[in-house]
Amino acid sequence: MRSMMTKLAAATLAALVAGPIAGWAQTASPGAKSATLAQVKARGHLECGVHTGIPGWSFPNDKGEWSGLDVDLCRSVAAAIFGDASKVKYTPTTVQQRWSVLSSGQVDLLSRISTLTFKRDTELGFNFVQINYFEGQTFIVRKSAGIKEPKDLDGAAVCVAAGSTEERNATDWFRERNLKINIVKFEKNDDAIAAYDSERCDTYTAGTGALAGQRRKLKNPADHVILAGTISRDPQGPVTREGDDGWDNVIRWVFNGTLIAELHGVTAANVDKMRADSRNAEVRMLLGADGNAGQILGLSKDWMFNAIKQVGNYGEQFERSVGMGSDLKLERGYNQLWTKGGLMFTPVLD
Amino acid sequence: MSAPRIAAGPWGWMRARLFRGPVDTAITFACLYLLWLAVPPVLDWLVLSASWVGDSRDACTDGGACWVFVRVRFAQFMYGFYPEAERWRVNLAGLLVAALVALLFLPAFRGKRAVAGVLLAVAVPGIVILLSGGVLGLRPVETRDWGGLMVTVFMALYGAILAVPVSLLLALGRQSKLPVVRALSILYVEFWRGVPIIAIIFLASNLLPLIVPAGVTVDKLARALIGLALVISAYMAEVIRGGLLAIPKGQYEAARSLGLGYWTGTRLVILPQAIRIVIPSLVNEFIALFKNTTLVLIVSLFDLLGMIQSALADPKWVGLNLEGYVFAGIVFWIVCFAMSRWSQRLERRLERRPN
Amino acid sequence: MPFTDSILRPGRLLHDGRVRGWLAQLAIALGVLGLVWYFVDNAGQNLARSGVATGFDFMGARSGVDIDFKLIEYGPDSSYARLLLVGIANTLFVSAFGIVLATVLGFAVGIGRLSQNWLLQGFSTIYVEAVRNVPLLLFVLLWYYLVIRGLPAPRQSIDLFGAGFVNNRGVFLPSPVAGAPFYAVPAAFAAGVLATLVLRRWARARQDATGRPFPVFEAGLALVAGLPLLAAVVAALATPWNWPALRGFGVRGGVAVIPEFLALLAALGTYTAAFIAEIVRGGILSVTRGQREAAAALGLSRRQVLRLVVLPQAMRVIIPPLTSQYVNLVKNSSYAAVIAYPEIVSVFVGSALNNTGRAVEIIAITLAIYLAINVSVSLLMTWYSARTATAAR
Repeated sequence: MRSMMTKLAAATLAALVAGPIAGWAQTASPGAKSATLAQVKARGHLECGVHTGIPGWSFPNDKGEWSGLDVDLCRSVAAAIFGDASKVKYTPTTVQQRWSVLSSGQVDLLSRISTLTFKRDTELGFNFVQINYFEGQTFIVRKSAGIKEPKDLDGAAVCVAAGSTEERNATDWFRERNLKINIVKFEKNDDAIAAYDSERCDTYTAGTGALAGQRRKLKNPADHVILAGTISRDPQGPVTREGDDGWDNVIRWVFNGTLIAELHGVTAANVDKMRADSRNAEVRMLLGADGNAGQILGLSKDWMFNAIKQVGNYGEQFERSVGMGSDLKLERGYNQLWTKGGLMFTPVLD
Repeated sequence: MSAPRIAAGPWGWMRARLFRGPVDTAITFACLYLLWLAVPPVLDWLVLSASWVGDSRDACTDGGACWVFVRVRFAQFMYGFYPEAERWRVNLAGLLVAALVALLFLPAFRGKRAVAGVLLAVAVPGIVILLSGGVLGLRPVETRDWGGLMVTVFMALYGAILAVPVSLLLALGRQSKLPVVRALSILYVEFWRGVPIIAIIFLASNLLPLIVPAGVTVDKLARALIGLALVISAYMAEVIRGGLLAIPKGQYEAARSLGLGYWTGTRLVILPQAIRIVIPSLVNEFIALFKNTTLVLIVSLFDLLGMIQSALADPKWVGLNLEGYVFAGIVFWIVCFAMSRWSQRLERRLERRPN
Repeated sequence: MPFTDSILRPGRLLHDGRVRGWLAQLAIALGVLGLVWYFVDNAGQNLARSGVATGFDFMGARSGVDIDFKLIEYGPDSSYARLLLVGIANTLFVSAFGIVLATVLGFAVGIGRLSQNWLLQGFSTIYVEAVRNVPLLLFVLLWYYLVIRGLPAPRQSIDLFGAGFVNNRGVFLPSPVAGAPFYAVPAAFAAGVLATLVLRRWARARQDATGRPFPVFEAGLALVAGLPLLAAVVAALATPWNWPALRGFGVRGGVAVIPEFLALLAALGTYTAAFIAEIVRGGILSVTRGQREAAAALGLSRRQVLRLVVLPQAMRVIIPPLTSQYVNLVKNSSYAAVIAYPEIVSVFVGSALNNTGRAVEIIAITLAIYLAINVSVSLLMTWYSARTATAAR
């Protein structure tokens, strides 16, 4: 009873003080299929949360222009929404910041090599829309140390970013095998890799993909070797806030679209021709020659046409950013289409 | 005991100031030895063996500082990613600030106060508009493109501008006879003074977005700025309170006996005196704020040090930490040292002036 | 009585200063409460909408993170509450050492600035001016860089005469297998302090009676420092030791002091020392020349003048700002978040927040801890100033 009274009194008070302030702070119009999509359109650009900088994934050049595979996903989405891949703004986030930046609505989409875990999916209130990169965690060591596999690292000092899945994976993996490591954790990945480079640690640990990128931040990359064995599985992908299925659909199908395009051989170079000439039903639907897939998502007819034309299909993005066409020289591996022995089994556009 | 020998000239000076006794002589030689150890290698690294020209790390030789790094990235250390074509706006804003500072140093003239007031009233909103654009045909430049020294200076100046009025009210509130007002002021001041600034910057960046209504986003730079202003206002309030305490009681009584109410008396009699006393200490608080702005780099804002750190993560310049830190140190040192000298000068002037 | 007066004539109510004061307070209190309510309400709504789990229940959950520098028992299976304790212990640990270092260095430099020796004075002045005008963050980064680069890799470890090693993984020292005998050390310290107090009483009584002075300071120093040292030596001989040895990647056995600790300690100590030096200088200068001359005229030696006349008076000026420097140092230990020293902010706002996502709860706990430290120091200061105030008569 008493708490009722207090609540009532406080609510009256709040209404008096806060009413006018809350008045001008309206949320997005409820009529749209996806509130986030409506917001993005009204704003005129996509807000994308990315890593503060790993070459090949998301990295700003000295003019502040971003590139990389994670960045390409943002650009594809922007191209699908606006017909212009450059209508993205990037918010660089550290390991610590990424969740609060997303949950507080500062970004519409987090594309930042984040591993899908149970807790993040449930307790933290996020959706991992789709997996766009499969990998495992491994270690980079100095060639001179003579390490062959993770097990040899017994007794080593391991540099890692605090609060990352890498930290917990490494801790658990070595404990399970009754081996001892010293975890040295830093606020940022960059600090951790720099500490490894100055020999504070015997190794730095991260996913194979990130390691290939981070390796370029070492003074003499050739003196180091990335171990072949992995100690974890890290399915990674774009993350959104829970509660906006329409927006999740947009992200999911733009990504799927880049895979479908690769499957059918649609590239940035031939996309015009394919739209005009292709007799494949899925391609025609994807590029807007038939059907209204774009409109169903709340986008234009040309959604994937624009995305492919401006950013390329998944294979092109991969090769350009992290694959053989880049400095990282990563194999497609798990991330190859299933037709070529990988895990990328594409959903069906019908 | 023999009479003291009075010696003049360099020999006498040395005798008095360097070799007064065995202990003194030992100290002198120890200092000289330290100098001998430290100066040649530092000078060699900083200047003699350092590389100055070129456009990549390859132009640098081992053993000396690679100033090429600083030279190539200099514009970024100053402006961040502010578009090159728009940098004149930053320069103009800097000029405005410089003009205001210069005005402080000019000898008093008729209407100086009015000129300063007008300039301040124009500059405070003017600089924000100038830098962020979006009106008057200025191209909008978002705060995410701001960076480098410009952000450091901006954060410090606007942190102080936000903090000064708040701290004035808090200082008065803490002296107030009204118990609720006094308690609230004490609570505010002691709370913000009691917690580390790093924690507050985390607080501002994590919790500020939570406490505003959904759909409203607070700019990242603004969040850090609010966090800094909250802390610095508490420190400044204590400084101003010190000034209020130093005003003799007679002044308060005199103001009242003239029939002035609380606010009029405070404004016309008490504050002008109190502020004058505490200006040097306020400058010191400002120096502390200026140094503390570096902490914003932990929430991925790129102040001068943050910009240097991000340049150090560039594969092209990796490993040049010492050059970066030394450069940042020199910049901060020059600015802070100049301000602290100024504050000392003000202090001496205050001491000379009879009350 | 004006108050009843205005009740009798309601028209005047608003002109009554006291009534107006209460009305203003009511309005301010309501305003502040409303604002707080508004923020809390928004936060509640935002959290509910985002689906983020809330509450303090996570404190008991398994943390899953390991810490490489801990003073209390801790492992990945321990709870977040335990992790927080590790952080608090580490904060207090580095702060305690930092305070000692800063005080010693600060007093040395502060007295050096007043030295007759031109070189020493110059050195001290340059030190103070160079350090005070640079951000602490830069200082921490620089020290960390120097410590890591300055120390050799494990294979080129510096051997500490067989007792331990120094390399860029830390300082490795032998650790006692059993810690119990070492409880004698703090006990001996307490005994030393007590003995000094008794000695001082006796010496005063004797001096009052016979006029013969007794070197209480020297004897006290010997007691306070010597007894624990003696106890430590005895305890060290009484217990077996775990010696560090170079093996595999680094050093096994013994106890390791990580380089992050050394860097943070050096940064906090050298930085705070510059501020303490200024406080000390100001304190000494605040003792007027006449005091010194009067003391000298009484036939006191230079050391006696410093110890009996100048320092006691200077300390009264020095101690309040000195304490606030100590509090600053404790707060500044949070700069460890940028290097890898696991103190409160780094382990709790870093690892724990990121693993659990409970931003509000974790930041609230962190702030509460610092406030608790601050409040205890303030209470201590109030007690101290009350005591010196009576001593000042």
